[in-house]
Amino acid sequence: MEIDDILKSGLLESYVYGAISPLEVATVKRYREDYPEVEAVLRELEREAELLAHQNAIMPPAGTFEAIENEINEIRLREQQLDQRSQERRYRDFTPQPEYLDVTSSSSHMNVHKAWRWAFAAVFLIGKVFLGFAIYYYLENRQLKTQNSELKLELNQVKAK
Amino acid sequence: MQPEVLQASPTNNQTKWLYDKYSAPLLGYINGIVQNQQLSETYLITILSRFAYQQLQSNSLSDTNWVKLMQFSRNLLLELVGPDQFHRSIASSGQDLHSNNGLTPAEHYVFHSIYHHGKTIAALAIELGEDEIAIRKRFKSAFDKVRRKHGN
Repeated sequence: MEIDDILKSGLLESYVYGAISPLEVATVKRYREDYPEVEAVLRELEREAELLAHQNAIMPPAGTFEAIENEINEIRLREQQLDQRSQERRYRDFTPQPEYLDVTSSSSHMNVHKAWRWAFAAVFLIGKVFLGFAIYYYLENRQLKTQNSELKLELNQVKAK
Repeated sequence: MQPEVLQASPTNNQTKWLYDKYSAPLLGYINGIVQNQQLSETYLITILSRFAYQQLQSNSLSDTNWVKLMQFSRNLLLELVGPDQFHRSIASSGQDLHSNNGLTPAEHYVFHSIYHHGKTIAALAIELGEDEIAIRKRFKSAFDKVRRKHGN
């Protein structure tokens, strides 16, 4: 395309207002590099677009700049927190975790599975049986000792005769 | 933590430069779209702060020009207001904005659609059933009339 055709086509005006396709944007960028006239016209169009915007300018109220500064700082803090969180997540993902977790509890009670109640009942009954045997053998032993001492006494009396 | 951020004075200077240069035309542009002064001021704060932050991050705030800021604002406004509300408010506001510039109704429609709606030449060509070359030339003609009217 000839330089005059480019300038008359409206392509440059459309480029300045972002109304053309990415392919056409690439074409205009190439023209801009190849033709100094295109570069000059584009600069002029950008300047005119700015002048046009100034025709409808409205002065913002006092305190607007401070509000913008605060907003920028808030965006920055949010971004920093997001970065920090993503770094922590990355660190967690790449740090080997223990297979089991340590369990800590402040409760003074413990919970036991219900299946254990039969075991506890069996242990209790066996304990009672052993206690019964212990009492039986204690009394048996005491009776035998008494009989033994009586026999010894009789034997001594027989020897004395 | 906030005072630490505020101490970065070169950043503040750049933001102040952006604010001094573009806040008034940008507020006018936003108000031309939303037609509500209070809402426009709220959007101005959101748009300028996001734009300044983005440009500061990429160290390109000093390369800012009006066209770049206007395109950013148009896209963000579309997101903030929602497409339906955005196009409805523009439709009601655009009638008188450039009506005194001597544009024909067809030129006015093309100029208004690109300047405020952010429509592309290709989209307008489909919408109006014309070829892109004709739409581009009409936009150029409208742009020339508007700038002549304003003595640029």
